[in-house]
Amino acid sequence: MKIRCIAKTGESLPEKYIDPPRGYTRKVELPLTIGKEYVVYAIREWKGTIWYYICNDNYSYYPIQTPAPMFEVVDSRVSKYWRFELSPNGLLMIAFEQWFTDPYFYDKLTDQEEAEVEIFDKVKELMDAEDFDLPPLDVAVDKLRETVSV
Amino acid sequence: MNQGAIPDESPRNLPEQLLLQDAKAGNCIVIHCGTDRLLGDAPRLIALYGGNSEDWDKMTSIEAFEINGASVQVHWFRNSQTLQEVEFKFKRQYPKTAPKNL
Repeated sequence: MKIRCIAKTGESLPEKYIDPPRGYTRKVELPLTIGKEYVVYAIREWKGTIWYYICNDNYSYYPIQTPAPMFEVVDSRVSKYWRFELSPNGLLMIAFEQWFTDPYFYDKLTDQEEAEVEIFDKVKELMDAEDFDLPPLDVAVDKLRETVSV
Repeated sequence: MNQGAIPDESPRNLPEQLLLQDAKAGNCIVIHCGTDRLLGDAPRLIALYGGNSEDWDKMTSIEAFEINGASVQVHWFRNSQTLQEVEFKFKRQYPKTAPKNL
């Protein structure tokens, strides 16, 4: 999935994204480039707000959640590495497997722990190079039928 | 695991000092919301500083300076209810060595 930045300040955000204790004020300016495309590595939905985990212009070793209204989707095809989780508290996460197998994965990644940084390096490399091209429907189904026919 | 308070890390040079000042002045955003998933440090933070697990967020400076070859950010914990900020530390990420061309 790829998105293109269309805004980078809090002025562009719907009211429900404004959360001053967490840094999201009207004045906040994020390290993004308007018009630039970013790969989405994970998605978070919380109380009606959607956040994309991307490697912004200050990326060094971890993706960071960024408000969805600052982007338009330019490639809506989803990654084959993604998994889905709906937590009892209502948090919806879509992310790569390792994010969920260790409940502290993202915490450790942002703490710069070597193993988690290495895992994200690998996931990023795979997702950046992911090939989304699929054959046309008729070709794909013919191929499948050839495989399963006796 | 460390059970005690982790003192704020001191900046090593003037750019780090400026980065820290900028972050403390409010140029920061959340990395990890305590409402999402428990931070590994949450039990320790609650024991030391109070609050509930969902109150404690991990924050980062918005700016990241290139200092002595490293990309440097400031991280710390903030209680979203009381706005108490604790345990500032610098995260220095050096570029990876290019793989050898075998």
